[in-house]
Amino acid sequence: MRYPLGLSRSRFRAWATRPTVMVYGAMLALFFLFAIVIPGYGSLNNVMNIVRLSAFLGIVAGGQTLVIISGGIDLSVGAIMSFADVIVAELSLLHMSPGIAILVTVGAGIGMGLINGLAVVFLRIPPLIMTFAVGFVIDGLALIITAGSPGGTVPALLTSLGSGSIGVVPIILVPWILYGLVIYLVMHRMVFGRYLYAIGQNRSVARMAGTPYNSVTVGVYVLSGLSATLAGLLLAGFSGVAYLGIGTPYTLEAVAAVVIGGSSILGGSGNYLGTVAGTIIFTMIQGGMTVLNISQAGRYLTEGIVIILLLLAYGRSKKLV
Amino acid sequence: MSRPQWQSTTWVVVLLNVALLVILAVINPMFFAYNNLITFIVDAAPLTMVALAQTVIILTGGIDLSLGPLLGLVNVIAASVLVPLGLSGLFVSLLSGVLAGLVTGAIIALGRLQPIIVTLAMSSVWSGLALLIMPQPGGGAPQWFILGTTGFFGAVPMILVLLVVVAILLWYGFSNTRYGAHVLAIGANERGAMYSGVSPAKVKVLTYTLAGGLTAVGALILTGSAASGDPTIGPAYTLTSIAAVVLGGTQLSGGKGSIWHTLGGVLILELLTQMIFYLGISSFYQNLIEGLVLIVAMGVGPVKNLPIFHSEKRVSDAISSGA
Repeated sequence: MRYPLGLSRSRFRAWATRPTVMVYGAMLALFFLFAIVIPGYGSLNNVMNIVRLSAFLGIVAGGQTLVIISGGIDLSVGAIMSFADVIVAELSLLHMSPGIAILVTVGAGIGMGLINGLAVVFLRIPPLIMTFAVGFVIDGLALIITAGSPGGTVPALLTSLGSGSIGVVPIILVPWILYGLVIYLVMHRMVFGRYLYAIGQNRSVARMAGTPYNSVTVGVYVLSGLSATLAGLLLAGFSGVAYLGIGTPYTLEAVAAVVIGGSSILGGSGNYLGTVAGTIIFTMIQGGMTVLNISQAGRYLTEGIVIILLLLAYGRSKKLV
Repeated sequence: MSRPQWQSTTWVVVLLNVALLVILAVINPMFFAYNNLITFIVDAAPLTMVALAQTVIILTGGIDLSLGPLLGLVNVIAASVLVPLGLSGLFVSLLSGVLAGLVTGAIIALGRLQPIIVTLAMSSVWSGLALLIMPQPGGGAPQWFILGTTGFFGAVPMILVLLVVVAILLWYGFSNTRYGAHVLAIGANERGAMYSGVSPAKVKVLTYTLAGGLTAVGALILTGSAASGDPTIGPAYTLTSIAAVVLGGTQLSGGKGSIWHTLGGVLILELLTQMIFYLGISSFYQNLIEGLVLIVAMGVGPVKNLPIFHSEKRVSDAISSGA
């Protein structure tokens, strides 16, 4: 008996049960399921549409991947996304040029990530609590700055990036691929990435072995804030109008996408490739349910049950004994 | 937690509460009017129950992100069945909360999955079920039930009696039973507890079931005071309940904490909301202020442990903090 990829039986088993491989299997299975049930689902146009809609979650989940691998969690990403979405348009009311507005927004996002990271490292506030509280504060800031009714215009650059296409290919694929490349380099080609996994595996050991725990951890939250800001900016370009709370659902979806993608919520293992598949699974469920005219209730139920089933398939921890 | 312990965090909780009470007394003495206090307690009761449920779970070293949506689900169930079924509707509602907790606990313990992710998924499931049962806010509660939740026991509101009884039972149960000791044991060191003959799976299933029951009681109080059901009311309670537990000084790492501290944490959050209301601060600032208070309260404790004050302790701290 020959096994695919020219591998021996045990090697093939080891390959096929890797979380990253299994999540891509689940993604393809879901795609074919929808393609059979929904006419026209498999068309190139629709595939491109899925990719476009996945990009926002895909980018914000990239930062979340780094944070989760380092052993933390970032619950402020949804608020940072909303903030970027609203503020970049609001700044146009101050007669700021679009380029400066984007830079200011990115700077704000980096600052928010920096605050998260510094508090986690130096004040030793648990990340779950710190980032949750910071999310509250950022949502509050956006509300105060816009006085409850955001206005202004989204820079044209973002509109073309978020909703433009070249032929059938959505332009948003370009920033997403570039982003993915940067994340890949950071995680697998830079020493930062190795420190990241080391700290996620065992913080004390990594610290005693001399990894720069403080700066790596702060850096991880800064990158997460930056990712959320980019996702928020692209989302502003896609939706064209700014509204408060647009990013809120992305927080928990990003965490779920990372974990479905095979990263351990306890830290120390995982990769961005898996997260991308997790993101696409989420987007397909939401899109497919909309087409099938299934109510919000059914959508929630399906999402929850799919997460549990995927986790039971490959996310279980080892027995204690 | 064999007896209420007076820790350094206790000071922060008590001082914050006293400060808030003083501010409230200055800006609006009417807050302490009898009727107003009763309204305050009834409004705070659902969060109190959810926060107590969250406390017992955090003591095992877990966390439950689905308690808020579960509160919403039981609220919707109660608002649908209390009128047609009467007293047995009460049992149906309680039972649904208990069963929901049992399912969550079983998936976590038998599936060997991380609580944070399982409960994240379960929160989606409970929200879906709530919307399935009641797509629009509605339903109702019978008169006897509303009177029961807003009624009095002599001059003392029933809700207050209920809260005190539940808190005392939990405190007594956790400090005097084998189960309570086992919860703290697996929260402190799951592997060690297991080698000592404790079954983590059994304890976890029991604890999530207990939390489901407590949340159902909170949902029933909510149903009584609102006299209706709302499928979207629940989710906001999840993170607020965690905030209350943490503000009270219980550590997220598990194995350590107390019921009384959580009550202090709930009181801080509720008094803060009152203060913002009476100061006439725009509700725009509410999120901002609550977030800042949480950060400051969490930051105050650890600041004295900053490495600049104890540079030689850094590595040993890292080890003892468990990483």
